[in-house]
Amino acid sequence: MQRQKRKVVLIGSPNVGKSLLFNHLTGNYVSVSNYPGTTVDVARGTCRIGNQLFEIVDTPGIYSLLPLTEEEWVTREVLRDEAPDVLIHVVDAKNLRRMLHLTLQLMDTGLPLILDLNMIDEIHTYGLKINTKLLSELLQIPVVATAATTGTGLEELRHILALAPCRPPSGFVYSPDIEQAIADLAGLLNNTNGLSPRLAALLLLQEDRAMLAALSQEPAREQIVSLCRAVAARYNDRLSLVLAQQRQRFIDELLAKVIRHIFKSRSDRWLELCGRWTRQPWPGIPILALVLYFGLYKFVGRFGAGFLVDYIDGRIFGTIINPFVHKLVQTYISIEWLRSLLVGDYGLYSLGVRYAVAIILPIVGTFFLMFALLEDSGYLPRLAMLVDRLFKHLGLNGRAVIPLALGLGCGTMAVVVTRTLETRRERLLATFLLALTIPCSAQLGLVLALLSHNGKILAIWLLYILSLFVMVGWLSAKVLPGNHSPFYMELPPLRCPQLTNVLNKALTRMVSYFTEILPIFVLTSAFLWLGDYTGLLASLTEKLKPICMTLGLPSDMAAILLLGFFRRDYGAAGLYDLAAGGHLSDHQLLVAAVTLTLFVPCIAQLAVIIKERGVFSCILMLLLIALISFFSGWCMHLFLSL
Amino acid sequence: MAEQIPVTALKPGEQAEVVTVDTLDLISLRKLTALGILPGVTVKMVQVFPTYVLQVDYTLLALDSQIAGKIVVKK
Repeated sequence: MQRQKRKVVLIGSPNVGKSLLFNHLTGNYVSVSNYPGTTVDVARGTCRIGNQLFEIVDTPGIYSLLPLTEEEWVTREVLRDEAPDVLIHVVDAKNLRRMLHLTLQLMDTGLPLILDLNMIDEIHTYGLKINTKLLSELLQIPVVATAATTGTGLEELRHILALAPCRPPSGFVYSPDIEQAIADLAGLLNNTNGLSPRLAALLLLQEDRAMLAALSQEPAREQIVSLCRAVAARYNDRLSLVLAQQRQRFIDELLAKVIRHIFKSRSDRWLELCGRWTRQPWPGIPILALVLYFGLYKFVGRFGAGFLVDYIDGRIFGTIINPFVHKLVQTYISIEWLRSLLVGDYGLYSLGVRYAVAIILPIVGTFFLMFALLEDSGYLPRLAMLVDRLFKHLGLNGRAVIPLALGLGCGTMAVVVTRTLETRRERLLATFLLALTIPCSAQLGLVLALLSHNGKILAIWLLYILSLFVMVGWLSAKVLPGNHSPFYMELPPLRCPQLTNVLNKALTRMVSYFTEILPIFVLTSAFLWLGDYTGLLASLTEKLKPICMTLGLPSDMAAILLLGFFRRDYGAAGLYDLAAGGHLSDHQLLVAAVTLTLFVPCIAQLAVIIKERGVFSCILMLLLIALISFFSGWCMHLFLSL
Repeated sequence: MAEQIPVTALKPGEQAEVVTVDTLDLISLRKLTALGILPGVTVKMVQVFPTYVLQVDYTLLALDSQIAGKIVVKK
């Protein structure tokens, strides 16, 4: 009996259902969606089949073994470094023709391989039938058909895993001269970078970046280079294309045998119509406006930040929990400083816990719910193509809309997702725009709640932030050297979102958000309490007061700006408290909202920026942001005082 | 022999066969081959604004003019 854990790696293009399959196999929940780039990191879980334990690894989507973006390199590193026992190539069954390329490439890794035809339920609506048994025989690897959304075929997949295919596939055979070149190269290569010699040779022929970089260490470097050149010269074309064409011929012959068209496609007319509408400027842009109005303004702003916050903070906390906690502290704790640490102005409970639970959670929760709905329906890639032209002026392409839209939820998560952008320049630009102009859902919700009683100031705020977004984006694209990368994206069919999927996804994000922020909230209030207790806070606030005066804000705002640094949402929540007390006029509210929206990102986002972009970029961004936010507040103040 | 034109010259609804893909730019070439756009494949122009939308088999691909311009087809 085998006791050792066997390592299974899931591989496939974006948006084929790898993550959902991972969830089914392991029982863990990773965020799953209908847009590329949700998995930017590796997810791990375990699963037991019979008495054999498996470690399941879910990887970011890749189109081929020649990576294009940073997250695609992650997948290749997994193949290189982790010595998997089995690979499962997950494909979208209806696009088998395109996806079999990667199957053939994966055979060259020399690792046992299982092909999983996922979303098999969808091919029926297209009137197709695939003979999986024949496909398995022709490819000489196990093939299984699954539908991860409904759980179809998963038993069979487990069964195949338990049988443990350990024989590496024989692999696809290219034309004789290519095969000769592969054999020669494999013999010459000293260091194959942890890959199979065959795969290393193939990657080299296709001008792979990592393989070319490692070439300088090779003793037989010159022979290798001249060999590659000779093959390329024979074809008078890029070998990437030549090899792809050879694979395509094989695939076309293969599919002619295994796929049958049994009837004409009968896809959902209504969803197809919606699919067309949402990707055309008319009526796509009005639809986008409706989505923003109802999803963001009505649901997150009015319902989440308005009704839910009022109810939870005012009714549940205000009349039930707060009095109870205060009484508890009064009765059992006699030490004065401990009391104030718990329930004082900056107490762990009154600031930390209450802010997080009563004010931030309802807002972030409603946002994640709405975002999950959009993701699951397949709307986001359509949004990306609609804004592509506009984003080109900002030095980005449509792809960047996904991290930026996610930034309206949580900027910290969004900075991580900028990994899906192709160039360093694009990642830097997107990170800067996120840090400066995109308010996170907590801020957004509170700003909407604070300003919505006066449509005029809400409009000014919106207009200002939007134009700053465009202007700063345009300017920084001018300043930073380089070009935007071309835009390409698959548009998945619109699907009716599944309620359980949406709820699960929103809940997972909420839990991960909440476990991240609660400790920071509590820690921040502890710091503030200490600062207050020692008088340090007062002197710091004193130093910030002149700035507040310049902006025409009450001096209490100084403390809120300080809070805003620890968490943007924390600062926003402080602003909410101040406004609820009736201390701010509409003009002051507007100035405060503008300044706080633009002001430096919270500590968590800052930490991620340093990790992803480096300390130097981060400091530069911080300086710019501090400057722009105060300058904007000042301009707004002057403008309003006219 | 049919005339060779860039795919961007197709009108919405028109179909054509891919003849070649501009191979000077390795990155774009890789993207296109990864998305299934290879010589011999039939593509259908679905939409041309704000980006080009091509149908290949059962997939819709959104491409900007920069990358779509590298695809040469014959009707």
